[in-house]
Amino acid sequence: MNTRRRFLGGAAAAALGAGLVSRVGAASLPEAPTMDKATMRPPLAPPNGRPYQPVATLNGWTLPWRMRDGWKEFHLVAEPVVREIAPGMKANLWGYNGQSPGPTIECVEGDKVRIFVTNRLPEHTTIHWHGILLPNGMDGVGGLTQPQIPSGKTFVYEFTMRKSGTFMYHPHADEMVQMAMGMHGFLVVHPRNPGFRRVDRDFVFLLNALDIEPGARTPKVATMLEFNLWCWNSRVFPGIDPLVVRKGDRVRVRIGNLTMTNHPIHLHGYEFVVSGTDGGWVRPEAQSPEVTVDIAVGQMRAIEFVADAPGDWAFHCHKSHHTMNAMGHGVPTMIGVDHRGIARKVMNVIPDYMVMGERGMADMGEMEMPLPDNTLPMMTGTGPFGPIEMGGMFTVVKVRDGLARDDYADPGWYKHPPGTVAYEWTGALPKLARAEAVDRDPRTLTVRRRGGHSGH
Amino acid sequence: MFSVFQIATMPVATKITRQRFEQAKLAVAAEMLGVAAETRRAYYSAVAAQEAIRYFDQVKESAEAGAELARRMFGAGNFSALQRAREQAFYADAVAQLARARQTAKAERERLTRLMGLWREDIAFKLPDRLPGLPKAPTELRDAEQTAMRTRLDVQVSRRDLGTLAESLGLTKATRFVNALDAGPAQVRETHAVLNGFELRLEIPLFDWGQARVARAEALYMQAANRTAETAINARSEVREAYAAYRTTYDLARHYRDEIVPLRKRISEENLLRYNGMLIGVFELLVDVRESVAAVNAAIEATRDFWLAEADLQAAQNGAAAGMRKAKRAAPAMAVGGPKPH
Ligand SMILES: [Cu+2]
Repeated sequence: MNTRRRFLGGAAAAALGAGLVSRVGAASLPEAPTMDKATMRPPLAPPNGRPYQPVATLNGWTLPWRMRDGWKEFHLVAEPVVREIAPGMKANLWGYNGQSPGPTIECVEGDKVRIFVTNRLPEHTTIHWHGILLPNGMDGVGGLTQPQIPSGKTFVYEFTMRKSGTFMYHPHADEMVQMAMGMHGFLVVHPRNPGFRRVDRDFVFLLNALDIEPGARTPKVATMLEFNLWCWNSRVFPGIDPLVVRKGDRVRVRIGNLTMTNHPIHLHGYEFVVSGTDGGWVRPEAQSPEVTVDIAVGQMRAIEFVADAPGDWAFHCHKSHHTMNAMGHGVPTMIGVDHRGIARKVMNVIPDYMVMGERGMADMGEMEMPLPDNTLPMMTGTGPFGPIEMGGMFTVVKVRDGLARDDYADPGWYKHPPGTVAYEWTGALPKLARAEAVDRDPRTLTVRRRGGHSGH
Repeated sequence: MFSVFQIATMPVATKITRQRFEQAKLAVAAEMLGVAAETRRAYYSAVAAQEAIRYFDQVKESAEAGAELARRMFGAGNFSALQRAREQAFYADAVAQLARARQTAKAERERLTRLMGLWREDIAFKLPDRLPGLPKAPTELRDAEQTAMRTRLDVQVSRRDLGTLAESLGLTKATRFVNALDAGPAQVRETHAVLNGFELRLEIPLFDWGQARVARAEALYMQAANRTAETAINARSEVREAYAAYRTTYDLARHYRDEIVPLRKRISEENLLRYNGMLIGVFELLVDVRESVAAVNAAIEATRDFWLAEADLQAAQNGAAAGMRKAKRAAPAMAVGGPKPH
């Protein structure tokens, strides 16, 4: 008891409910590894315990553990972090072990798990294990099932993983603020039988939303709905890792939604089935073919498909404003407005002005205009054929022949077999019935770059 | 340039007209200084008014671009009648403001023309594009007061009169001096307070009254000495008052130049970056132009106010203040005024 107190402090010891949890376990805190990178770490093959097929966390990693007297011991540290949202933008978030989201926790059905949670935030926190069947006192609801973990203290959660499936963890103390700041992580419980619903590649990520004023770095924690960064694992396109897949692989993608709205996640080029939810595995006879899965707030879905069609397949939320980065919603529509002469007038008073949006907003995807510091273009990214004009919840499933079993490295752009790419008709054109397009002001044809603007 | 002091100290023609003439000379000299000071004021006002036109012109241009764009957007079906009318109203306002600014500039220029006494082709004089910049550092109050004691007409004349009076009373050997600014005008004490550090001084000689032929001489001299002290003390008060305005306007103008205008510029730059990112639209940029122009215009006004206060301080230093008040009221005249002799 004295030993425990020395390491955990009185409050932590008091938090361990009487009778339900082991009194032996922790003689010392397990190490709390930390991550300084925002790109995907290779799946972590289990060095001990029951075998399983590890998952690949998009722009993330799996938390190593230690085995101690039959318990898998993990150590999460809740703390302020700086997360790269995409190259060109970093955010002051709260997360776990150096990143937001926190590391993925992987274990196996039947594992006895002990998770140490150290609070390095300026306010108290807890962790709720979303979807896990556990003793009530381990559920992590501050005030209801436990006292909150004060700043500077470490609490211990101990429970047995009763079933396999797809889960997540997040705070249940000052929950709105802490989730708006980026606190969450993935939790995967693998089946005791490694052959059960085995797949070759198993990707996981969380949907989360941030609202960061363009030019600022810290989320506005009071935002309810008008978020301006729609993230997968606290990343936006073009910062989201591609899902690299070997042709013929059976692929699972597990997605959890911790935003405040639903997301119809759509995969091009395939039909898939929803094989699991946060409630468990969907029986095969109940699985319907889909190309879009709508994930409601607080829900998780696992989808599966066989990657038989090579290519670069878009994979994104189907709400078009969720595949955009920060944008102004009060910007007037300029389509069809003749700008001749106007630009010159405006430039008399704003010398660096240039016309945008006269034909649509695609200009934005093509031009590299100087933006406020630490701000990503509303639509961006460049593919082999030109600007991709996306942002937010968008990435690419890259299916390739001949990849190594554990090769998740970006293979570059897909090389299309000859004759399989849409092409321009070069024959005679019918006379256009509609009016001629408006001539553009010569000024709009010139992309003007302003020198000396640093910070990108 | 003639010396105004030369007028004030012109030789006296006859003893009989002496006192009346002295007062006339002093009034004329003060008025000349007053006209000069008022001309300086008019000059700064005229330059500032002309400078302001440029900025109201920019406001008008930005509003004009907005109104024209709104007209076309309405035509294309992208704007409602209300949105279009709002932009038109901005433009209409801007046109009125510009007209008003032009009228102000014309009036200020005419006032300057009158004060300079110009007519015919001379009225085509060219004003500089902008006001002079602020001095690197403001004048110190101490220097302003010292200059006033040294150069102010009324103080100089009063001292000279006192000397003349002493001479005419046969007082030749001053036994000690007192500082007129230490002693109250009611009594020139024979003590001399020594202050630590800086002391502003206006020396008044005192005499050994033993040599005075009649008691009346002492009374006359002390009366005049008290008047000199009063003149000096009032002069000093005028300088202090003018200096307070000078210093406040200097600090304000510098605040506009070093803080407000650069901040507005920064805001405009950031707004343009936001426009580039389609975070705001062109109409917000145009509103920003108008706000930015308003800040620049306020900075011009602050600079003008400084130069006006600077002219007032100079007037207080050389004694033009009284003459200036007259010049403000009417076109310059050579009317002889002043108190009746006793
Ligand atoms: Cu969405």
